Amino acid sequence: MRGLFGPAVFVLNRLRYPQKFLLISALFALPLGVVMSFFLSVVEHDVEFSSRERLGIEYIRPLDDVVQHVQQDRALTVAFLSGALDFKTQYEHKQLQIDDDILRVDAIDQRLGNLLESRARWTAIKKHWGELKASVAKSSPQEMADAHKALVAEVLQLIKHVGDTSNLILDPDLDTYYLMDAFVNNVPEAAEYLGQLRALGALTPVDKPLTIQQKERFTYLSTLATAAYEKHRRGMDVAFRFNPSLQQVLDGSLNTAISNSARFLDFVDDHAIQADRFHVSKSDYIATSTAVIDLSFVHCAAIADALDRLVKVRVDKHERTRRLVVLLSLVMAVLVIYVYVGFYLSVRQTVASLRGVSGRLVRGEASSEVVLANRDELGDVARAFNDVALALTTTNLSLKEEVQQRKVAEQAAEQANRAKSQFLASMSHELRTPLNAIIGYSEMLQEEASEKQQQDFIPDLQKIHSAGKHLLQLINDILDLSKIEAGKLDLFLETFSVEALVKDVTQMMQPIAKKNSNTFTVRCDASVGQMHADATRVSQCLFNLLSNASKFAQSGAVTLDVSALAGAQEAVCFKVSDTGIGMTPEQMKLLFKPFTQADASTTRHFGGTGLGLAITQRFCQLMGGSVSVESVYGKGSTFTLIIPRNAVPRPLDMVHSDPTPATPSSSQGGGKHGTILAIDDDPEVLELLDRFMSKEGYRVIKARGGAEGLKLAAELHPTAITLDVVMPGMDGWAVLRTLKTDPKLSNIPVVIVTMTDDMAQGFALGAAEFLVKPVDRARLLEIVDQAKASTPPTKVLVVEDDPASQEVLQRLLLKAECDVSTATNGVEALKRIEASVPNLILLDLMMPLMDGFELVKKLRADPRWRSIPIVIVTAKDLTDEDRAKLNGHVERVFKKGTFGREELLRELGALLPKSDSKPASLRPPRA
Amino acid sequence: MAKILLVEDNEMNADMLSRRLIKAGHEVHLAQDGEQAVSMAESLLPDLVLMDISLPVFDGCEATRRIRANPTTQDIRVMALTAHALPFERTRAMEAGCNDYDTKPVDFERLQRKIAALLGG
Repeated sequence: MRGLFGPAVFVLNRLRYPQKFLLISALFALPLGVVMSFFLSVVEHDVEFSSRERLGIEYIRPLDDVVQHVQQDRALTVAFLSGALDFKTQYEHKQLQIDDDILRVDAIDQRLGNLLESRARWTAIKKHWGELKASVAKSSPQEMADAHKALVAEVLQLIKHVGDTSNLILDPDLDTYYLMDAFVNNVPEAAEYLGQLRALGALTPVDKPLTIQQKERFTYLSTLATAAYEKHRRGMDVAFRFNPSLQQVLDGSLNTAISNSARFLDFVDDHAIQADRFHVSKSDYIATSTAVIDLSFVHCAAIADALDRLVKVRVDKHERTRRLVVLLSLVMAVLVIYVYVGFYLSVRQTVASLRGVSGRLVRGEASSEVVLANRDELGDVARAFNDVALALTTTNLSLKEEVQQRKVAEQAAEQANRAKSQFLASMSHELRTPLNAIIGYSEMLQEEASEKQQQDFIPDLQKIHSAGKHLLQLINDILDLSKIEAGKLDLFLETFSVEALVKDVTQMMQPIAKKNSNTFTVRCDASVGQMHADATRVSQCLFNLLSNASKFAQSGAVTLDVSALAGAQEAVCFKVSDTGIGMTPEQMKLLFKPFTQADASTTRHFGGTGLGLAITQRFCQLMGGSVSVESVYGKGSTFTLIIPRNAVPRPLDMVHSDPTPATPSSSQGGGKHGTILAIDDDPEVLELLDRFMSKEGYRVIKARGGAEGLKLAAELHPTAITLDVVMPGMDGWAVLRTLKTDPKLSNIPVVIVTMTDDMAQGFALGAAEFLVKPVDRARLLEIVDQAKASTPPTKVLVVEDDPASQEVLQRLLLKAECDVSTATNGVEALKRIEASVPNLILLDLMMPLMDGFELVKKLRADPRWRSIPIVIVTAKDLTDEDRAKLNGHVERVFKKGTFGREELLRELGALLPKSDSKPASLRPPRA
Repeated sequence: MAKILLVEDNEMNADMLSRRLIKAGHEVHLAQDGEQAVSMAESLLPDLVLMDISLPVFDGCEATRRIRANPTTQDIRVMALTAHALPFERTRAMEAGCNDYDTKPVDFERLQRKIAALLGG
């Protein structure tokens, strides 16, 4: 079946609906049109055929008159020529009548042209009539009778001829055929026989005996006339049988004509054939015969009327049929076109409504249902579409709901996180306030007790004091741990002597080590020297490990070994061993986890917070080091702490990003690595950038449009800007142009993040980089880091009165691509700072007018300048008093001549505000 | 030795610290809220203000800012003394204009060292 209709399906599938309709219509309309036109032409032919018959009838009618009158003229002229001179007036009158008849025929003949091919014969008849008229005086009666007879025969021939050419002879119906036969042949013929009898009577001398020849002539003509009328009656009988209504019309004239002719023939029989002599007066005979013959012609005219009426009815019938066919065809065509147009409009409407709804569906508008009353196949399509739309809408709604729920959950989580931080902060505050009183009062009481020699109270007061201290330690540990976990713990890196640090820790540990009667041995390699790390955190780690060791060993030994590790990365190794209870491998797995000790009973037995090792491990990791443990159950444990000599702060794997507030405000402080301004009209892109860049330590400010972005850029001076190109209102290119033409903003690197790939325009306008969405995160981070590194040169102010030293520093900094300005004393320095705030100050202490100490004091008293990092570069040996003055105010003190170039640069780089994780702002000079 | 304005709203801590500071030889005056601290700083012109941060009326940071804004009191040394131990608290105090910062519970010896350092200059 499918194979059979394949080609049709193939063709129709490729046509649009109007074309389909045209094709199908053409296939139907062509044959239908052919059949219709054929049918119409048949009808047309019938109409023409019958119309021609009517023309024939019209032509023959006056010819009948011609026959009638020529016959009468014959009798009159013959009578006149035979000596009855009183007929002269009559025949002359008749001649005029015939001329009149001829004019009527001429009119018709002229009108029809030679349509009935009658012209030649008619012309001949006219000519013969003219000759006949002219010859009346010179002819004998017999000659005149013969001439008339010939002329009548000629006219009768013409009547028959017209009967042929006007299709009358071919008439298809029986009634009309016999009427035609009577009209064209029988009646004129029969009348002619009677006419000849009349002429014979006019020739025959009155009251003279009749010759045999004369009698024979009368007899002959009578017989022919009788036979002719008989034939006519038979023909009429057939016509009446076929069409009974004709009988009513024609019966009267027929009977009158036939009965009168029969009586006349009886009269002829009586007075000519049976009589010896013809003694009827000429005028009586002619009058009698003429009356009878005229009745035949009246009858003939009635037949002509009937015939013409019947043919006319037939023509009308055909014309009605033709009109009906044409009308029907037109109505059908209009109807078909109407239905087709309706069909096409219905298809169009359905398709348009489907298209409209699908458009709405795509745009995510709510009411997306096709409302159609169609019960056809397209209605099925619409219903199927509605099902799909409903399913999609439902899915979409549930997805939106889910997203909404997730957002709520996310916000709740952020809220909870903030609440946690808030709780920790306030809890710590609330706990510390009463602890302050406990510790303070117990210390006071101890002092007073010893002053007043009341030694009994001292041990108890000491217990209160140490319980308070323990509680404080616990709080600090919890706070430290939560700070580490929140990623909020900052390291204060400094260079210190390892030996001195170990000495301090040992002193602190001595009383604790002695508690369990342990021996405490410290071995510190003299070559260890200095290290650069957070001294406080290193001591805290050592203290934690040593107090653990002391707790778990009873009357044993606690040892601290300090040594230097060489290798790719120089490091310092602290090894804490004890001869305590040791641990099983299972217990070792649980070490370093907060609030977990090797055994739950341990806390009861040995005390401690269970946080020490966890904190120790995280501190080590923050400084780029590690802690490991070896233990033999029952024999003791060794904890090994390895910290790089030059510690580099490193984010912990477990460090969480800060919960980002929904609308960051400028008082929030920058991110760890800087501030990124993200300009994009798509909130989802902004959200993604925010999450991702926040995780990497950037603070992300979101702007939803170009204008807002420019405003925020001017307010915040971000480290870098990511910029979308296609945005409503002000597009990315306009934003970029504005940024690059504003001297205050032009140095902020801009990264284009876009769907378009018109890199050339981006770079021409001054974009730093160009990324195409979807954004490759690693690439974006790399670019922003680079862009940040390529921020304008660090401004460094060198305050130094010795020209040589000044030049050395200046050259060094210039090589590191810094923007260097100089001053030779404090007063000048203040002027420079007033004019342009530097990122860093290198400061000599001993100077004229205003020395370094004074300048530091002034700078620290001014809130605008308090945060500028200051590095002292001095030849002075600082006294304790000097150090006290500078304490907390300067970042670092370098003694002239004791530092290397690399070291100074590294130190300075670490101090710069925007680069605490990446000391790249001060790039070492290129080799 | 020095005239100290102790700003502390917790009665017990105020009592304990003032007694210990007096014992250490200082002249101690006590203010219990931010407003009092500012007015007393102006009337007494102390050598040092020990400023708690969580205070009624307005907090220690605001009090410090007002002291710094007043020309007669702007050079007075101010040390923040608070039970808040998170780093941003320290930043906030220093930004408000404090010269130094110490946390509670007070390590009295350390506090004395810091006082000496601040007043030594």
